[in-house]
Amino acid sequence: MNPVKPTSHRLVSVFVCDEPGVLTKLTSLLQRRGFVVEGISAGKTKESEMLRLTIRVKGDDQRLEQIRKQLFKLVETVRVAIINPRHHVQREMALIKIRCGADDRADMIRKSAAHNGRIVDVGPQWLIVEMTSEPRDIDSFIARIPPDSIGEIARSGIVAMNAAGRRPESVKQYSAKRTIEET
Amino acid sequence: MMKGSKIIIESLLQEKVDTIFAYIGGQVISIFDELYQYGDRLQVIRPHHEQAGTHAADGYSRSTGKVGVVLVTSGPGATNTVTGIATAYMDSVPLVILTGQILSSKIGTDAFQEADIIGITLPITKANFLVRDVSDLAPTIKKAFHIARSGRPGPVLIDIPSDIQNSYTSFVYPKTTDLKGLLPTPKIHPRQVTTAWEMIKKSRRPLALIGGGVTFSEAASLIDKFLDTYQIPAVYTLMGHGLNPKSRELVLGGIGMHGTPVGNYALQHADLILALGTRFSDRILGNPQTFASQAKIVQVDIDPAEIGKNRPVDVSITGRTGSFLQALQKIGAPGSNRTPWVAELAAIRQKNPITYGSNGRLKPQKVIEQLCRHFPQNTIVAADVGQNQMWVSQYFRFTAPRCFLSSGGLGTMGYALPAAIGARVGNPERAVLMVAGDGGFQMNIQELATIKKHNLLLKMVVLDNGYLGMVRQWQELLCQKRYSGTDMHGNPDFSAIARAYDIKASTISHPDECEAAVAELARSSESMLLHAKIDPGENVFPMVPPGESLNKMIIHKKTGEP
Repeated sequence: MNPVKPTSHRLVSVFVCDEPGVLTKLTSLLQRRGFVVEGISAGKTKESEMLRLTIRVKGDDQRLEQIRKQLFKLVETVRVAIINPRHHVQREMALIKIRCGADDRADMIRKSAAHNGRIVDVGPQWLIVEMTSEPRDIDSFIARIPPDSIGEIARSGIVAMNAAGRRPESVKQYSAKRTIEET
Repeated sequence: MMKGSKIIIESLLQEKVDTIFAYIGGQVISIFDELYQYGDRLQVIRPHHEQAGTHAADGYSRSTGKVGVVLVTSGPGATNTVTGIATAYMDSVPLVILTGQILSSKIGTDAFQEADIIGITLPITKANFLVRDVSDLAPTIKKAFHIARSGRPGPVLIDIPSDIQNSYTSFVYPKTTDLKGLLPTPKIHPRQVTTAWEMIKKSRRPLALIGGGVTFSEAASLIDKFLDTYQIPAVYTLMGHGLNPKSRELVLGGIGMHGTPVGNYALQHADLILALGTRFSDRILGNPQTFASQAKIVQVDIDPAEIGKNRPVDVSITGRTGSFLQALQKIGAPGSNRTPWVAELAAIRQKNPITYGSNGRLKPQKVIEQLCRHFPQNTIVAADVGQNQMWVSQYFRFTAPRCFLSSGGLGTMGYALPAAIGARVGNPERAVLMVAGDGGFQMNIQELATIKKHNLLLKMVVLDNGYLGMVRQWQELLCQKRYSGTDMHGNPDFSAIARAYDIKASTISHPDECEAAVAELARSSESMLLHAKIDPGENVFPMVPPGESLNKMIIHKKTGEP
């Protein structure tokens, strides 16, 4: 019997060419290879033709290595960067619509400020709190609101990069190398 | 300015394509209309089903090493290729599949014969493309051929809407292609070679495990030299077949579920395994926990994702097996003494030959032995899937690469006949033999008409045991003989079927008829089918039950009624 390794969550940054269908290709690859994706976010990068995805996956180092290799097999993948579990910055943004009449507003403003949230819109019965933070801080804020007071939640998914003490992830050098010459 | 449909054909010619497997339909009419003018430069083989066309392109590619090209229409034409594409994908066969698509402006409306073939083939292609602008057509074809051929080969699909085929642009075939994400073929690292060499030097019981990657990197002759210089015994996977004459002392035989006893013994007793171009599929591993537990493993593969995927390894080397062998050859053999190990294996081999019994019925193994005796040495054999495939693998002696065509990974029934057709098209000067069971043969039996239409010389053997034999064998051993769904009652007279297509045929059912019938088949100057009614109870042995350790081989030779 192999000892069961504790499963952990890791973050992976994937740089892909911004072409039609690339998100489908990437997510379906992860799905059919049996990787458990717990969150995904995508957005533009410094290079206009490139998308950066941040994927939160379940698994140990060996599993992570398989994910990296499989992602690399996609023709659209230019770089796969494993986010260092200790030395990195990660953020998620959440919009939370909370039931809150005029009487309770001051209390809610205080509560959200304590979690670095801010009120971005107010209606007669509801208000919207915006929070940009580590995902677990968002979780703990949400946990402090009575569930029936929460109208809806929209979360962006995590974005992350390795710490400022580390060299930036560059896709330039890779682009140059992969221009295929006539053979 | 040039029309899109003409650009497609001109681009194929630029890629040095001289043969395509194409089935017409509504959304590729304009391409076929252009093909009409290219009869002298482009041979068009028309199958009788798009799946068969794709298998034919696959057989063409496996036997010649060239990229196989398929052209079909939208909707059902495209979806019919799916099994063929998946077969090629699993076995790393380079194909380019061109599918017609409905008008760009109608995509997504569930128009007549519309199918999202890009979405459907996503998991079974190396890459796929929908062409959205006629000016992208030539660059996309260039890209597709490059991807199909490069690194670990595989199928690439291009979906081309009919309005793109009918639009005009200037035709310039690009010289380069910009693929930011495509991995360049990895170069073997010299330090890794040294590490492997040191391990070989220390090893007393080394073993080379040869997979299909060796064929693809055209390294067969290097393997021969390597085994000679290093005096390392070798075993091979189903996909690694045909790289070495079996008569040679060092080449032990096949491995895995239906491998040779000596092959599996060698795996289980080696202290070092050099895995060359193989992905350790479940059919090889048996029980992964007990597989080669005494061995350190060095894995060489062109696809980094295959290294350590199914079995953890000690040293991983990414790159062409050919380059690895060349590097080792340059260093030279370390001069260790392997005589006891080689002698031990020779003794095991001597004691445990693969044999079969006799009970007065026609044995399939005998048919294959006779085929091997009467057909020329460089014959290309396309086997189907199941018992027939294993018997060919065990009893036909392949002496060169690209001679044994077989759906190894996907295990596609119905593969043999169309693959043999493709092989013959690509090798008009060589003998091509198809061996199929009565089940698989009927999955693409309509291709008998393709043989006739294109006047191909093909020799066919149907091993007819009236069962889907491999599954029946599992049911016999694992389901207490409950033959659910495997009885082929209702089979036609295969010789009569062949004759209906104006193809010569004969039927045998007795061992005494075997040799003469096979000799006639080999001699025949026209296409011919041999219908061999074999012992329905014959099983493929040896066998390692699924998921079992390779030590637990069933060697027994059962005969008689199933």
